[in-house]
Formats: sequence, C-alpha cells, structure tokens
Amino acid sequence: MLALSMGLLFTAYAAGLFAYCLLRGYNITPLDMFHSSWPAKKAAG
Amino acid sequence: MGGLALAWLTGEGIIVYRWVKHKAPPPPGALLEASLLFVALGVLAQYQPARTAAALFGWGIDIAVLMQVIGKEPKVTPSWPPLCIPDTQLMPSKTAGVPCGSAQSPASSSSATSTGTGGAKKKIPTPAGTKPIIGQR
Repeated sequence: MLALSMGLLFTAYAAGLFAYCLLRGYNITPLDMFHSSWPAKKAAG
Repeated sequence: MGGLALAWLTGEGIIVYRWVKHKAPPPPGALLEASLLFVALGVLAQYQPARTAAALFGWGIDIAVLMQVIGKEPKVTPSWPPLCIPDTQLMPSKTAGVPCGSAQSPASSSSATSTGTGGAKKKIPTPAGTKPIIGQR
C-alpha cells in the first residue's frame, strides 16, 4: 500500500510538472522529465 | 509504515530543497532513484518482521545523504526556465527550442505586420477622442 502510494505520488508529480511545462510552452519532452537534470539551453540558430 | 513514509518524504525533501535553492523544480528523474529505493523498502515492509528494519534502513540512508551533502553546493547548473517550443511546432520535440518571449520564427513575425499581398499594413486615421470599432474599416 505504501509502495503504491509512493508510485502514485511520483507519477502525479511527473504528470503535473509536464502539464505545467506544456502550459508555459517549454520545450520539454516526456523523456526529458526523467533525466537527472533539465536539458541544456541550445537555441536554434 | 509511518516511519518509512516519513523517511521517504525526508529524502525527497533533501533533493527538492537543493533544487529549489537554485530556483528550479527538481525534474522527476532526479527523484526517481530515491523513490525506487523507498518503493522497494515499502514492498519489503509488507513483511511484518522486516518493517522496522526497512524504516531504520530508510532513515539511515537519509542521514548518510545528509552527511554527504550538508555544506556542499550541487555541481550541476540547473537550466531553468528551459527554452520554449518554436512557433512552427505544436508539441515539444528534440529539436532546439527558442528563448521564451522572443520573436519565435521569421514567418510568424512577418505575417503579423504584412498584408496578404506582401505590402505594408495601412493605418486607418481616426479622429481624436474616438475609439475604432473592432472589425470596422
């Protein structure tokens, strides 16, 4: 039960943060969420 | 069970605190390893005789991590806020983004100031003290 709650909370945090990034228009893919840091800024030239 | 949940929250709190200090939210990937460890401990704690040992192990991990990180700055530089999605795309992708709030693509910026034939947009003069009605030319 505790493990399930931890998994649910983690999934909710990841989904919520991805939704926030989408709403703000940030170029963050779902895979980027699971790296240990945010992607480096490389602007299109 | 409560002890293990508190240990998990404390462990996540250490990670979140270090990210928030740099004014960035922690990416879920940064919390993933700690979460997986505590999920495994949670599964172990389903077995009644191992419950106390799992909670003690969780708190031991927290204390060990605290002793490692107290007084040290994280070496990573959080690149937050990240770049924005270009106007030419609907969804985020692996292609490079554009700085937020800037003119995002030449096509979109030129279409805003030009008419369909490519000429300059005409400004319709209005008498002083009147407001132009939207849609009226």
